Amino acid sequence: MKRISLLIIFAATLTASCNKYLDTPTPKTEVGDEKVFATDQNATSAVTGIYISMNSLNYLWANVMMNFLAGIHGDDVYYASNFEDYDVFKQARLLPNSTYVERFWNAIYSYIYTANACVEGLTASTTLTPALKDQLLGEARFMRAYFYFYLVNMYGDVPLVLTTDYRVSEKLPREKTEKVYDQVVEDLRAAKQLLGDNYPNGNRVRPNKTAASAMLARVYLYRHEWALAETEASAVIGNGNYELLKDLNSVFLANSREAIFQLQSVNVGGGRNTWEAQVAIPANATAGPLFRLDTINLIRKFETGDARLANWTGTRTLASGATYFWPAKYKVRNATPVQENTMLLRMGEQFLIRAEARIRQHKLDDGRSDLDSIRLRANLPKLNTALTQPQLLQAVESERKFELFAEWGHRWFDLKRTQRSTDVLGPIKGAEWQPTDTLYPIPAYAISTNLNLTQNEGYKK
Amino acid sequence: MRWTAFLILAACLNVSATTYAQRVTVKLQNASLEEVFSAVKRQTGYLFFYDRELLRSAEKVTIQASNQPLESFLLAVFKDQPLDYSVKDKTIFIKPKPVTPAAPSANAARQEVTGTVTGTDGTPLPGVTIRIKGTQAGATTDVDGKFKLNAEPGDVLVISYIGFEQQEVTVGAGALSIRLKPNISALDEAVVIGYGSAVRKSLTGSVSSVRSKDIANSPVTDPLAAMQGRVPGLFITANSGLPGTTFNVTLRGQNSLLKANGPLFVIDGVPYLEESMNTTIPVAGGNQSPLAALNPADIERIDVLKDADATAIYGSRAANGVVMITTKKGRAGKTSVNANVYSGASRVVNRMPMLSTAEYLAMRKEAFANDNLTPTTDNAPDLLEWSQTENNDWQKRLIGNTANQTEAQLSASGGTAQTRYLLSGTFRRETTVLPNDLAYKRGTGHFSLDHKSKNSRFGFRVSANYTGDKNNSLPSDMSYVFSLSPNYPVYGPDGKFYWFSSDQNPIAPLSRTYNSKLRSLITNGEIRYTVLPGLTAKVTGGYTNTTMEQMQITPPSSLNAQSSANASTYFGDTKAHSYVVEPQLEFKRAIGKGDLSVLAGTSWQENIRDGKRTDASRFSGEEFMHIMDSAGVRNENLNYYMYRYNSIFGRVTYNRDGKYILNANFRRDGSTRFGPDNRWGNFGSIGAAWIFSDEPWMKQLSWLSHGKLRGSYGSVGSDNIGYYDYLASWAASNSAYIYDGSTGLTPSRIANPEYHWEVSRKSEGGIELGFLKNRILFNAGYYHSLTDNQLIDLSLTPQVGFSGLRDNFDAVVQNAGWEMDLTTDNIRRDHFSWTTSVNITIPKNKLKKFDGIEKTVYRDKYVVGEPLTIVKGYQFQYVDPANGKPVFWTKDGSGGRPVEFTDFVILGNAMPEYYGGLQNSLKYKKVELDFLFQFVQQEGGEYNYGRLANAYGMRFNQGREALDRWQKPGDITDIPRATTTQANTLFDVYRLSSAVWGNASYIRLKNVSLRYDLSEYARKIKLNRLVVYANAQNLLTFTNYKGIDPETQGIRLPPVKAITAGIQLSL
Repeated sequence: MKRISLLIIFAATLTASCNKYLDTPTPKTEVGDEKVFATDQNATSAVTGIYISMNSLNYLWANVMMNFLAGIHGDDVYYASNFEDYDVFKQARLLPNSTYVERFWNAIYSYIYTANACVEGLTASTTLTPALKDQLLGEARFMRAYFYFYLVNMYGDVPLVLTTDYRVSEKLPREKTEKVYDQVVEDLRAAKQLLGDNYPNGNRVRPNKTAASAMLARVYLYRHEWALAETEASAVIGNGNYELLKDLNSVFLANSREAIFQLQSVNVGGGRNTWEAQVAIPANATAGPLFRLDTINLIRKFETGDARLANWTGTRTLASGATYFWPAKYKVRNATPVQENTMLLRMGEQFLIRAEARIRQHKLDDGRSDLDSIRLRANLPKLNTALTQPQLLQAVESERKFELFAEWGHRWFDLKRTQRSTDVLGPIKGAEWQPTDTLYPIPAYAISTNLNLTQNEGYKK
Repeated sequence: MRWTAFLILAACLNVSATTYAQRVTVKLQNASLEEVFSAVKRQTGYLFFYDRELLRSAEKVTIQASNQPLESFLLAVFKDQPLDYSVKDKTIFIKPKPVTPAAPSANAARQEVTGTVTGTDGTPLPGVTIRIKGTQAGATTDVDGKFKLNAEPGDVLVISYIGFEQQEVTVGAGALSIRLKPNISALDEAVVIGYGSAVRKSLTGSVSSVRSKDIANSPVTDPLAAMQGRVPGLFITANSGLPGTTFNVTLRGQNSLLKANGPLFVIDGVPYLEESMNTTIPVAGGNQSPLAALNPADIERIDVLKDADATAIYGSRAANGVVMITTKKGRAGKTSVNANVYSGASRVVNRMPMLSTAEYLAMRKEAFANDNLTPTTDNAPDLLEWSQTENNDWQKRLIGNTANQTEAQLSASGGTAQTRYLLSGTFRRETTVLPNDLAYKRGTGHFSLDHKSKNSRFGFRVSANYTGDKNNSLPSDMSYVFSLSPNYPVYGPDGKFYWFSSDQNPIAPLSRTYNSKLRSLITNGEIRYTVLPGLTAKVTGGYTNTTMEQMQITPPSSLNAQSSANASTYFGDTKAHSYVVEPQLEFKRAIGKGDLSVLAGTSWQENIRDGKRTDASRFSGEEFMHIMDSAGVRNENLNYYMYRYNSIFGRVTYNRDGKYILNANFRRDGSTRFGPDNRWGNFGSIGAAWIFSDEPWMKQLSWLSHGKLRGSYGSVGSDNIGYYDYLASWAASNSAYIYDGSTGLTPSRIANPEYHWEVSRKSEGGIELGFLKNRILFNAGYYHSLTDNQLIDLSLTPQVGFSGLRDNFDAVVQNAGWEMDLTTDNIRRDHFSWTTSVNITIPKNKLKKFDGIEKTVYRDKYVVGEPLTIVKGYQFQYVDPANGKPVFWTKDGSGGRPVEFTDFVILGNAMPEYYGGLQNSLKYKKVELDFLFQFVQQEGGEYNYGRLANAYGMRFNQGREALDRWQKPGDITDIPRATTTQANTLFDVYRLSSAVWGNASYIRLKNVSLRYDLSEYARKIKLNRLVVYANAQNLLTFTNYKGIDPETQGIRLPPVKAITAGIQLSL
């Protein structure tokens, strides 16, 4: 009996001491969940993590892919050689298992996870400096809105994930585009309230109140809420911190006065600046460009004297005699310190948004004058004052094409939201074109792992 | 606190004795001593403590005693026995009677006889018993193996020593020189098991062994290479032919869906962290094998524990078996100094024959014609710009060189019966088959010391292995050049590297460098004390400390300016250390007709690994690229974990009469790889053996010398998963990425604190038979294992934000198979002997159950009811004779382009159908010849299998079967027509189809060793021993595999065949 009780004592002490022995600390390369939103520094790093993930690598979604691959999908960019992953965009024959259809979806939802984690963590935190907490919460909600804006424009109805609890999010079905937009507007309005007028450290690489307005202006435009779009764009244009830079070569510089929100170049090993410049500018004096501007549909359509052709495109004639153009808005391949950042929101777009919103509201003169601001900067004459509303809307489409080419899929989205895709792209894309091609398919893998998801029209087997 | 607990445990295990009467009443006729002992024990409570071996020499006893005092009774019993006894407390110790010199005899012929006893290798054997036949008189040898006794000429001396064959010598004139042969019966061999050792004959579990001779005969860097083909159930393949690279080790099949399927390695009783020290910096041939830190020449034996019975004492880490490595120990005797040097050369086992330039260019032109395309300088520089006659054999040029290796070892060993030591140092240098001056260099020091007190109650041993190695290699395997156009120019007209488009120049990568330095200290020790007779307390412990520095330089001159890759240097710096402390208690006692032994212990283990990879670029010049401080930009990546492990374990063995053996193991393990509530797991096993040949009714079968049935059942586990998957945390982004003045944090994972151990339930049955005095030994075993609670990555739909999380899944993997080995002593004569041993393993693997597989990433890879090792792909049907395009099976029968996954079929199985080895050892006088054939029956992907293969007719060379390609309508062939674009011949489908999947079986002459013992001549020049020898590894390969090598498969540097010659001598 005595022996048995001794054994029990032994086992008990052993187990107690062992459990303690196994309580190892959080590894030094990680920060435990409970500490992330406990200090100002960690919380800032958590939100900063979103931007770093977006821009640390190439070929994920932001930077090169959204700027150039979405251009291939439209009519402004093409790739130097046959490459199946890009050709499916060029020929509008996307498949549910196309590489970038899946990659974009995965990347954006992973950013949304971090944004949701930040919103949850910041909201629950009680130990942060209040002003910083507002700023960070505003940034997280702004970014979440930014991501959903792209998701609905690429894929249509998408699951609206607003939580990090995978048991909830893994079952969510697709939400109606309008509902997703409602959330986008709600997030942007909240961000506008939470964010300050100034950039936290003076660098235009984190959203501020103006960025929220600029994004709202775009969203209202896409939702045909013309008056609201005009109001928000006016708020941006009227802000003295921003201007339509006269010098086209300075527009894309880091912290240029045209910039409302940029993504800072972070993976700058070897003196690299933006990924766009790294990929677009030919590697040496004899090489041809990889991502090329479409000669027939874009280059030859520039009006004579358009300064944007001279300043925002690069050109090279190869030994074979063929001449190629590349998008040259970003000009610095290598430089230390970094000179350029990736542009997300800029003044040029705001003028174009307001022009369109005004023309839609029949404020034709005001609208035309906004278009003229853009044209004047490009060394082009003012528009004929006699233009009618449909003619002016046509001018807006055209001006957007030459101002925003090879930027964030603007051209592709414009044609889609104005129901012009089939007219314009149908003849270019050829036999494969179908009106349903304006939306990507929902990735095959996403559907096979969430049976509540449905496929878009045109991609069902 | 812990020590208190330990002492309490000790106290618990100390069986208290009760007082009994000290008188005995016994009546026995012709009884064995054991029967006497058990009668005494019953009546008095006195326990007997003895070595069962000793009782063999005992005479039968006839005695009658009535209420006789114990003391006088014992005197009577032992009077005529060659045994003596002593009583302490309540235990009676039985020991051999001290050998007394024979009484002086009246016979004047009696004279002093002297002699020396050595082993076959000439090492003196101390403590050998010499007895004059038919008398009790005798002597024992001293430290130098010398003895002295009085005998008459014509007397026969019986020389016996444990582990050696008994020998009889007739006394003549002059000193005697006696060489004892080791006892060759494998059944009496002591094998190393978890926390102890056992005699093979009485094992209940499944243990296979590789001995130092076979390891030493293999001219290899890594001990794993010396084990290939020798151990049933153990399948080892090389990953590359470069020195120091890793091996794939699978013991009895893949149990786990995760890739972590390697066995646990235990060195001198201490678990070894079998993990490469490499950071993620790429290197040709892959990571460095952690076992390459161990010098094969320092290994005494390797025992592979396979079934639950043998492994359950290692509980949670035993699911994939345990490999026990025992390093060499010192030998008692006068100091012996041994030197061993060998040197040799090696080349790749095979190179693939390719098309010549003329044949290649013809295929290219045909491709353009087939595609209706005109070659341009952009798409066909090989046809328009490059030499039309130059014929480069890229394999010959880049991997076809001769490597050499040299190894030199010096060791000293000696000691007394109480204290023994060994000190050895080895230097090895092995170059590569690449054209550069690359080499793997290794220096190892090994030290071993063991000591026991005079009464053997106290003892300790320590051993230390220190290894320093330097590996000069390349960042990437050069084997890919096999498919380069044979007329590809290396240099342009300017004399500089020629670059076409974004292609890699074939020679430029040779100017990139990879260097690593490893320092590894592996120490372990044991202190033991016999507290009470039969009760031993011991503490074993180990400490390892390993560091590795790596540096990979990619200079700008080695880069194609077209690609955006930047000139950079990667620096790696990894430190790891671990300790293990394992206090144990061992208790042995005779109970009834049997021996009981009990083991109990606990274990504390901690491993810490701290690694850093620094990517540096923007150097001020190419010549400064090895200096981290001169880099303009540095990115750091950290890798860190702390792992702790805690256990209690125990084993009970009962061996009755040496015929019935029962063995039970238990282990309770805690591991920090699980969430706080799921850290502990219980594992255990039970095993039994019946040596039926020792039953009296079997003794009549004179031809059957040994027969044993054994069986076991138990559960073991696996914690071989990531370190922190349970932990909810955020991880730092790359520290060099500063965004608006701040670094970044991102969520590390979706943490799951709920997952728990993966458990394997293993059962095994075996029969062991020995015929004709064990000249033929046959073992057959059947194993069966079910592994459930599979710890896998549960895939999540991407909208969640993470691709998956670690969780247990209700999937069951079954491994079952047969293992057989047969050893025959074909010829055993004085001057000639020949033994053969053959082993074969027939493994079967099956995914028995996986509910909900369709919701996981595994659905495209596995099929329930099929092995985990299946490979899926497209079913090739034929090449259409009309147009030369391949046709594939599709589900819908359309015959068009098949759809990935939907139209996949099972191509085959990557696991061998059977494998094994055949070894022959011949000895004629002083010449010994050993050779080992390894055979593997399997399927595999041919050289054009895989997503990187290129269509026939593209700007890549092909194997010679390309000559059989379709060329004109009506051609019947399996090789599609030439084309310049993959899609034209559906080559992207073809390369993943049954067309390029085939037989990858091989028979390899793995090892040949020829030795000539010149010791008899050497003694004239004061050498104890002199042997010259030649060894060869991978000498011949027989295979029909279409590719470079069936063992490594794919496009990798194949293993090398090596031939070496050496000399071994002892002072």
